[in-house]
Amino acid sequence: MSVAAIFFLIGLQITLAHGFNLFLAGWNLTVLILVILINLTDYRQAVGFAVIGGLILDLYSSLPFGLFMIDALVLSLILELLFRNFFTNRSFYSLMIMALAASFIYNVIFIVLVSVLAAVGWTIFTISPAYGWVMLWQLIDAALMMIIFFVVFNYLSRKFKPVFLQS
Amino acid sequence: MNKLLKYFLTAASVVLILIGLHYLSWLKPVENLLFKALAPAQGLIYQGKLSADNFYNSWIRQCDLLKANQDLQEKVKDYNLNFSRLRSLEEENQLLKNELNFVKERQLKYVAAKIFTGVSDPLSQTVIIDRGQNDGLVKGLAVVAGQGVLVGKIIKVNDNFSQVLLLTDNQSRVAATVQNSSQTAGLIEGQFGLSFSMTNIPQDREINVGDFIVTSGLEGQIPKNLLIAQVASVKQTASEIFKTAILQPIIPFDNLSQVLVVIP
Repeated sequence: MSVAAIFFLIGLQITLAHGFNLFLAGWNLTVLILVILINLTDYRQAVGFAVIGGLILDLYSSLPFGLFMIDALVLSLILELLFRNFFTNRSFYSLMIMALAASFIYNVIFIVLVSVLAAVGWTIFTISPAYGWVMLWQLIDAALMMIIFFVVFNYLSRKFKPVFLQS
Repeated sequence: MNKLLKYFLTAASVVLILIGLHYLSWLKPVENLLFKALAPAQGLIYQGKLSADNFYNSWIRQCDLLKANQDLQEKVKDYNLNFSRLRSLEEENQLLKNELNFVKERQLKYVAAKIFTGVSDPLSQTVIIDRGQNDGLVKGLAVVAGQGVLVGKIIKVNDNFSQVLLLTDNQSRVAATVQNSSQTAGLIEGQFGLSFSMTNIPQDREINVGDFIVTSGLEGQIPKNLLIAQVASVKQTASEIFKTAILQPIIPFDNLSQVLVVIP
C-alpha cells in the first residue's frame, strides 16, 4: 500500500472524525484498513500502516503525541494473533467478526490510554459517558464498511471466500 | 511467531523513538513538512465535507419547505398582534449589528486564518487553522468568526499551524459578562460539543433571556467585549449558590471556514 494512499485515507478519516454527525464520525478507516491488510497481506505491511497511520493521526490530534501510534500498533498485533489462531478462513463472517472485534479493541485501548494520561495529568480531555455512542456508531459503521468492502472486493477478486454468502 | 515478534518490537521501537523525538522537539521539521504537504489535500477534503453538509442541509430544508410555509402563515397572524414585541426585537437587532462591527470599530489587530481540518480524535471540538507561531500567534489568543463573534481560543501552536479549541468543547472555559446594567460575570463552558452555557452566575445578579454575553477581558490574551452568544434560558434553583444560563450561539459552529485571530 503506497504511502500516498495512506495519507489520503487517514486524511479522509480526520475530516470525518471532526464531523458533528456520529454516523460519519464513526467511519474509522484506520481499523478497517488494518483488518484488510492483516487478511490480505503480511504482518509487515500492517505494522507499517499502523505506524504511519498512527503518526498522521497523532499530528492532527489534541491528545498527547504517540497515543494513536500505540493504539494502532497494539491493535495490529492483537488482530494478527486473532487471524492466525481463530479467523483463518477469510470468509465473510470471519472478516465481519474481525472488523467488529477490531473496532471494539481499538476503542478499549483508546479509552484505557486516555484515562491513564488524564489521570497523570498529561491531557485535559477525558472520556465522557457520551463516548459510548461514538463506540456504538463505530461498530455499526465498521460492519457497514466491511459489507461494502467484501461485496466490492469479492466482485473484483476471489481472495475472500463467500462462505454462506452468495455474491 | 518469532518473525511476528520481531516486526512488532521493531515497530514499537520506532514508535518510542518518534515519541521521544517529538517531545525533544527534534521531530518538528518533519512534522511541519508533513503538515505543509498534507494541508492542500486536507483543505480540499474539508471543503468537500462542507459542501456535502450544505447540500444535505439544503435538501432537508427543501423537504421542510411546505410545512414551514404553512407555519409561517400562521406566524404572520401572530406577528401582526405582537407589533410591540417586534419593536423590541428591532432594538436587539441594532445592538447585534453594533456588536458585529465591533472588530472594525475597536481597530483590533488580527490575523486572518483558514480552517483546513478538524482534529483526529473524537474527544475534543478542535479545528486546525493555517496560521502559527510564524504569524505571531501564541497560546490563549481569541479566535473570532463572522464579524467578531468569539468561537474559541488557541490551545496549541506550531510554526505554521495552530489548534483552536471551540467554545462548544467540554473543556472550554472563557470568562464572560452579561451586557446589562449590572455587568453580571460568569464562566462560559462547553456543553458536550453541541452548545455552551454560562455558569457561576451569583443568584442575586440579574440575567434575562435575550441578553447578550461578551468576554470580560479577565483573561489577558482575550480582549474585553467580544460578542459570544445570547441567553436562551436561565436555570435557577433557590438552594444553589449560582445559577446557569443556557446560551444560543450567534453563528453556527459546524460550518466554520474562515476565522480571525485577535491579537491584543
